[in-house]
Amino acid sequence: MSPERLVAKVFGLHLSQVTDATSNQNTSEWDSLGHVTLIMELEGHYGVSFSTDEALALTSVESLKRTLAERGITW
Amino acid sequence: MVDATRRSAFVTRFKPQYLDSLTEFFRDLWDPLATPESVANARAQDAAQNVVNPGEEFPTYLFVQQGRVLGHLTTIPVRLRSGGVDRAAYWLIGFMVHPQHRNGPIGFLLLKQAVSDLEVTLSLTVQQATIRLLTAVNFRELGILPNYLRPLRPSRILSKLDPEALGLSVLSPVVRIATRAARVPIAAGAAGLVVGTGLGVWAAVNGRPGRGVREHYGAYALGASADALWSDCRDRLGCVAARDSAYLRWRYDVSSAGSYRSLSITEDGAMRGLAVIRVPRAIGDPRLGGIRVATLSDLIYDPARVDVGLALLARAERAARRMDADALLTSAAHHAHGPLLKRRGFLRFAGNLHLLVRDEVGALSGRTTLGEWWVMRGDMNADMVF
Repeated sequence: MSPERLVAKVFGLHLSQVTDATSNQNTSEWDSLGHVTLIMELEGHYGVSFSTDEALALTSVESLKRTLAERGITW
Repeated sequence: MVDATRRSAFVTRFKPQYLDSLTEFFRDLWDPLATPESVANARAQDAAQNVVNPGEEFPTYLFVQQGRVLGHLTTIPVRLRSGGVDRAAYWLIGFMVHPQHRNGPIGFLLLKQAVSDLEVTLSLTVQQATIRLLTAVNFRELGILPNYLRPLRPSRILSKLDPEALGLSVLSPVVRIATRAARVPIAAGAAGLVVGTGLGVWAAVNGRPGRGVREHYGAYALGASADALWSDCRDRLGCVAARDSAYLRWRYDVSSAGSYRSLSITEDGAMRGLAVIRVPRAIGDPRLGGIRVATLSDLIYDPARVDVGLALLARAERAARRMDADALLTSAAHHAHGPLLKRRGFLRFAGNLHLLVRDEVGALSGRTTLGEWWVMRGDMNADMVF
């Protein structure tokens, strides 16, 4: 499943609404609890774990994809 | 999420090494005049009144990244009385994340740490996002505290009322036109007279205070006799945070420079009831257009003594008038309050303060409905709004 699809699932968005620019600054559904849920979904789905520092920085689809790519994860 | 061994971002209990960073956080978000000394002094004063662990600082949780405080959650320790037993509990207050870091993990991590340390935690909140976080860490939402408003000077209220500024634009056009018309001084005077007279007659007929009780005003009401009152009443109030004299003196500054006034009701020389009123702010909420609202922050009385309850309310109304208040506001969860407030002419309107409770040890079994909780606007400093 792509990061975009995971984001759409966690926040109840249509896939077409999710772009690289989707972030916690422009998506009302992306609140603190949603953020934590998203991180846990990412960890579970891709088998990775994020430090608190990393979790703080994962605030947009673009940053999610970049961080996953840096870990060598493809989708 | 796991923490790296060498982490730069983490949740921690407050320690003196974070005093400067915490002060900076306070300056940014709450009080531009905060200094390390003022923050340390406030914490020391609170520690002296810690009823759960005397002398210890109130538990405060910080989210720190590279030495900078980005999130804050503190507590008010209370002794919670329920079923004849006192237990330690903590109101969660001051839950705040730096604006640049909202909608991230900070709020959740702060809460998670606090509830893993503290067995019984309580919250009064209006924010839906906070409610979602609290329920995610096993808080149970018991309901919304009803609000009650007693107009004291209806003419002044009507002349200043601006439904649109208050966000009441959903009112029907007829009501909007009527409220706009009521802002005309003559109309406001006439309508206010009708409303004021009506409420006065209603309260006189339905809410006449009992005879044989006397009223007393002032700081003395928070003295030793308040302990006797608390001791008499505490097991009839459902679930209630201890309101003995030590707590009342710490919580409510009733000095002439303070924000609160107290009054008590006595019968045969014994205190039977106590009320605490927050004076209207000199500069009120701008949305209220200058309407001066006093807050009935706290009440203590045996709910079986309806006469005492009515007397307290009547005296509180009189005290609020002396404060030049246009209205007296209260929020009260316990089922005993509603009927008395109605009899005194208080108008009920929808509340927004949600009571949430987390009890991991089953200490409060059975206290699952809002009406069993003696919670008022003074709890958790929720009366700071007005």
